[in-house]
Amino acid sequence: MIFGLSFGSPYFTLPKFKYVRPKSIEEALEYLKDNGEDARVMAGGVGLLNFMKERLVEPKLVIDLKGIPELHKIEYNGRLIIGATTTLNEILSFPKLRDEYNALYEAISVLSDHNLRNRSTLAGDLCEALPWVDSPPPLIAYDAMVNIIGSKGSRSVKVKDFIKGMAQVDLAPDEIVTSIELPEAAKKRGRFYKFAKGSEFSIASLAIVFDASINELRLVFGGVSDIPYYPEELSEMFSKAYSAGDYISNAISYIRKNFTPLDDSLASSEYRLNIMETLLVKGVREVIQGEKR
Amino acid sequence: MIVKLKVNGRIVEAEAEDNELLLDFIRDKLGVKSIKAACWRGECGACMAIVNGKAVKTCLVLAVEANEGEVITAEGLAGKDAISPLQKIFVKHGAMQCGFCTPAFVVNVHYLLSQNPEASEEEIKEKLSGMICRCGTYNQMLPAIREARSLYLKRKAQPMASSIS
Repeated sequence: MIFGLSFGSPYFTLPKFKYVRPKSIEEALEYLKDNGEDARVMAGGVGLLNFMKERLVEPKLVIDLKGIPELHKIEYNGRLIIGATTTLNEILSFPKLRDEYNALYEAISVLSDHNLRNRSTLAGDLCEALPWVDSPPPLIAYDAMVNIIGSKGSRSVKVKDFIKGMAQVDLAPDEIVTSIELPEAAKKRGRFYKFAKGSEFSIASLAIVFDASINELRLVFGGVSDIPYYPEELSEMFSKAYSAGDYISNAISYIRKNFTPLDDSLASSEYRLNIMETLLVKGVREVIQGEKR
Repeated sequence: MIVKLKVNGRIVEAEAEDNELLLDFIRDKLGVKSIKAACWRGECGACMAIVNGKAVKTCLVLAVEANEGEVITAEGLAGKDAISPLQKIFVKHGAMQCGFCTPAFVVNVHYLLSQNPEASEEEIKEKLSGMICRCGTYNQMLPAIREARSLYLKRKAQPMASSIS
């Protein structure tokens, strides 16, 4: 662990900083360029303010992105584009998400709680890059992209490459995430399974995205390692499998052979492996039984 | 900077530090004490207020962020001399013990039922899951919420601002 969250420690105040609320992306980039590592951007603030209370980050400048109109949007034009400051509840109420991106819809529905979802954002979830956050696994399963802008121009990177480690992402100090973009998924279905043992932190989660004829299937696990675990070999194994039972037992032995989950205060590695198996069995069976081949 | 807010229908302004939480600003600078500070990290919900039409935990909002916005707390639901019908229903069902979290629960239930008085019990439970009552009076709150639902169904949902600034 890079840092341990000290649950229950009494941190009441925020360190001193200057707050700015730019009205355009250019203005925000200017602030970032001038202040480098001393600046932090804020969208919903749920993660940032908590980390600042714990003095895990102490920026001298906090740049609130909520004043920038073009970052606050959700739209569909063949691809789903979610702006950086769009809150999780605003995302949930977008009908296309519920209809066509079920796995992401289900994951956001169980992420933290309703009141925090009035503040937190998808881009914030991604930039935090903490293992127990539920939105990255479905984003990877849908092959989503992160759109980034910096002083040297804009670029796009796949979510699976964006998250590089626990609390580490492919984002330079002078760059901001502008939006998250999901490819068309009208012919796809998805499910999300979460096991949290009563707390809001996922001990293990599983996003499954498959096509309507169930010939292709993608499995992405969350909460089990520093970054989401996306075994692409399991997708290949699926297209060659004879039966669901055959696939499930092969997939389980593949995971046991090739992967060691996190071992921390939430759960031991072996415990997580068992939960992963349970989610896999439940998920694959439901996918296959729920949809006619 | 000077932060100007409409709190429970009244326009107020006071000086706020950039690193001041909306929770501290409302309690200490504006003297509105029904919202409570307990966990300071967005887990317990005792600091719940309706900010620009959305129920949020004010320990995770900066005072300067809320500038020019509108805040509603339990004081805003009640009239000058009488408590609101929702609060009366809470009292009738004994949906509290020590009362510490009650203003926050009342505000959140008001927000949820105003948004959708037809919400199922499961939905209400899920949407209240970000709050903690340390006395554990959830079983008294549920019948209170059931009764309050018919009240909100009758009265037209109050229009609330849609965007958070």
